[in-house]
Amino acid sequence: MAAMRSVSRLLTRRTLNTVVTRGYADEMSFTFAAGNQVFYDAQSVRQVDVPSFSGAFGILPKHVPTLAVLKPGVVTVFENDGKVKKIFVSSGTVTINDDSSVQVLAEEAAPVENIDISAAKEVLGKAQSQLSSATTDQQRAEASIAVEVGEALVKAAE
Amino acid sequence: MLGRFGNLVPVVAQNAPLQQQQRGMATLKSISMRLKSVKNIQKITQSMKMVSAAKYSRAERELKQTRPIGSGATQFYEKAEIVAPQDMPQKLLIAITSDRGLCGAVHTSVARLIRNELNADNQNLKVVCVGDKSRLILQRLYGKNIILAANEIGRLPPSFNDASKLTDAILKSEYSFGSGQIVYNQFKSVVSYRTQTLPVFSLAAVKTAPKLPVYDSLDDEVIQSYLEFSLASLIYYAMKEGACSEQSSRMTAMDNASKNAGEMIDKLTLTFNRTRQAVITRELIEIISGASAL
Amino acid sequence: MSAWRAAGLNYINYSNIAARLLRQALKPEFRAEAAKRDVSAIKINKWVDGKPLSK
Repeated sequence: MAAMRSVSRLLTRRTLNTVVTRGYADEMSFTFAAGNQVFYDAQSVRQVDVPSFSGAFGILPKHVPTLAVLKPGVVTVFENDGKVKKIFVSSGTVTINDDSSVQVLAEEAAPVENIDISAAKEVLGKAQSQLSSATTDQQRAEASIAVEVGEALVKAAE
Repeated sequence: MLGRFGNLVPVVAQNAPLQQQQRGMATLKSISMRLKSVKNIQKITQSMKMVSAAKYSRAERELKQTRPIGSGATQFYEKAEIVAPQDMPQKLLIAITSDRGLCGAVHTSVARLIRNELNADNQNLKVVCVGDKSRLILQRLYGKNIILAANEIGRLPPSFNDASKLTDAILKSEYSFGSGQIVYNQFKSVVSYRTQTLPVFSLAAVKTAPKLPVYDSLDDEVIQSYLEFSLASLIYYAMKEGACSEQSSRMTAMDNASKNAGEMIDKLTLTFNRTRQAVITRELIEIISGASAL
Repeated sequence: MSAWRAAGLNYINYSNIAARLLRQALKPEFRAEAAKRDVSAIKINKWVDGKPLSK
């Protein structure tokens, strides 16, 4: 039985990136792709925590289907072998489908350890001065986005 | 009458032995000139092939990185079974091509697909032309249907920034559409690509989708932001596929051109040598017959 | 509604700002590579009645 399961798992793995996958009840097929790099391509993981506009939430297998929009912050991936990966995302989308497949698409993403704390602080400082000198609504909105990103960056790098 | 006489002159000239000799000499020179130009062309096509081979390998590497984005962005549309709304017939077509030619039929096949759609119905269709090539093909007949035209594409590999600038322009173009399609060339292998479409939907279309209630806790703003980002991802993905197909197709086209030039060079060299031989022989005959006449 | 949408921005603009700042905050060895993704050569023209809207 166990052998059979591993064989069928192998089969699904092989077809994962070409066809729509039908995940197992206790597994999720997790895709995490950014404009600059692909981190996971339909791999099975235990849990994923994502920051979204409606608050940060954790995704476990069999999560109720939903859509969410990412906020700058750290995506935490708990892999099946117990490893934990922290990846900073700028922005993007999360899709959870009713077949337990999860897609996180980001414009830009980088492992947390690639963030430079002093550069992050500099970004935040610049954003804050931009916000105080903003005159139009649009400038203010842009600057407050920048402050939000800067705060998230500093928090992630610490 | 004069015209007919004019027509006769070259025939007469060709038949005259003296003229023939001069023509032979001239041919020798013109053949060598043609030979030189064909060799130059071959050099150009060969180097273009090398350049596009390098660009192609990079484009293919990058395409592999982009495929999960494309499939990820289409998954929701497929799984939520969204269809174009009946009460909003306005459609948007986005043609993904580039500024550069000499790459077979990649651009024309995208433009042809759009032209067929426009032939069927040009009232409710607007086109966004990405790349000068699709614009040049479509503007003569359907210029009025173009709402946006983008260029400066193809020199550098497409970036997410390109895609998001385009998406921003589409969102701010004030054209409200019910559904749409991105028309692009999907890369299959070095020798083949397929002209494909990706679906695009408006907020209204998504909200009326029968399977949407399956998805939990959605408000309009989330869906709107989600769709905006999806559109950018899809355009980015389509641009990558298009760029890869274009480079591979250019590589094949230039390879064929180099081969054809090679064949022409062989033929011309043969004719050149034959003609040269003929000239030498004739000169010898002239000398000998001149000597024997003494 | 978020403040940025009220100010006339869309999520694409939001995303762009966030991505640019993330690239700036990377460690120097990754920053140069990331800065290449900042460039964008595309030019977009609006068309009205079969003619480009000249600026």
